[in-house]
Amino acid sequence: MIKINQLKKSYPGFDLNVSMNIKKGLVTGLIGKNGSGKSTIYKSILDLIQIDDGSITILNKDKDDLSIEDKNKIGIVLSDSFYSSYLTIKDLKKILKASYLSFDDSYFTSKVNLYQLPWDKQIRSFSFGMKSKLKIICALSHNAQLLLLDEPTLGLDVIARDEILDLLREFMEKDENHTILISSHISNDLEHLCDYVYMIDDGNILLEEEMDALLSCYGILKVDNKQMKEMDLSYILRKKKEVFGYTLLTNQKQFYLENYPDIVIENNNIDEFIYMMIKGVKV
Amino acid sequence: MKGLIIKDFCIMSLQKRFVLLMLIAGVFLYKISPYTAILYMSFIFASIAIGTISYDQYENGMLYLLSTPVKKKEYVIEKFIVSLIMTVIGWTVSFLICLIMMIIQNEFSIEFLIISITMLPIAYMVSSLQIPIKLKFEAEKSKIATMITTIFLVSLFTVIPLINMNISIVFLGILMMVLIVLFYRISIQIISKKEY
Repeated sequence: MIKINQLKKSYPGFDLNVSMNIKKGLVTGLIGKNGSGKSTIYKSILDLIQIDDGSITILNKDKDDLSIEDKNKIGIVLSDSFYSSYLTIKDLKKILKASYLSFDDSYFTSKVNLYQLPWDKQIRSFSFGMKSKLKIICALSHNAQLLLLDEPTLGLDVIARDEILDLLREFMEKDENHTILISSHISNDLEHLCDYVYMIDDGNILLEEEMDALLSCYGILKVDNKQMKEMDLSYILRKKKEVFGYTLLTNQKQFYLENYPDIVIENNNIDEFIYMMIKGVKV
Repeated sequence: MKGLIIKDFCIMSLQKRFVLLMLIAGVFLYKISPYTAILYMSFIFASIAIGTISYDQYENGMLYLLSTPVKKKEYVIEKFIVSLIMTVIGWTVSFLICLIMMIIQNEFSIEFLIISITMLPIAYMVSSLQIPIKLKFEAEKSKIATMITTIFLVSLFTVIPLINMNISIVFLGILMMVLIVLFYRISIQIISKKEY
């Protein structure tokens, strides 16, 4: 769906250099801390900034050749940008109807009513959570094939986030070609939704992996100094010094389960994974 | 583009009170000269339209807008169209008010009609200068730029009634088209190069 080939973009003190392949029919997650380059990637895909080098193809076309019909197929949520907050939902409905060829009036209306969002109040009076829900509803209301979501669940409580994830799952189930690229800090969202994950830090892709593998093959080891000296570190990706010894990240949990039965081995989760990949030392 | 036009009319309708105030100000300006009132009202209405650029830019909104099914070129064209519509509305309202007052006071003349018509392209030209300025300079900086444009126009307001105008409408029409095309080209350059 989207192929990013050696995309390069520089800002003072920051250089982005990434290659990614967002596959059709899958939910791809983009994990990274603030300032790691996630938003730059979204802006590059949408041709909102000039790139220094590299190429991006989206919907089988170069990003510069995207037509209005193509843009109709893309639903977008940006973390820090939306329609003017002086507009009301009533206004938005009229605007969306006129902007998108396949705007689904009944879907939009039903979702706004479902989440009890006020039709006649200006968006600037909405809470953060209400605004996030509205952004997602807008992205889902015009029969898009591809969703580009930058922190869509920001500001939502647990229940609201779950409702949104349900909407996204519904979107994926509607058509086998539907595709999502989602960036998030919230590990729970990623674990329960994504098929594939890219991890970005300081403008570079640190790792790309299938979510299933990340959760099943990766593991966290807790070892003391003695165990550390004796063990085979071939499958250790990162290490971190602790009071008790070391925390280690491996992508071959099974190997250590079989060969080192005494070692404390925990299942991987996204939060620990991110922490170890960024704060841990490469082995 | 239809979506952009609807969006801008939704935003402009927020300024009903401001428009009412300007109408009242316009009535007072009539006492200086009906042409001043017409030029002023046309310019104010056009400025309300162009002011929607600031609403679009506020809180990083341009990023989202340009990711919707709209080309940058379309965005610029739409601003010129909406400001033209609003210039015509402002001109019509003020012209009718002046016309009624002139008829009541028995001051109507054909000269009034001809000179009033020339106010339309003048107002449109001068107000359209704000489009590339607002696109280039966001928020605070564009306020300064808008002030300069207003001062320029105020000088125009006072100078124009003093001149015995015999400017050909055809000449004005051509000048308007040349300037609008120039402002449009500059605006396209600005929006194409700008990073959001």
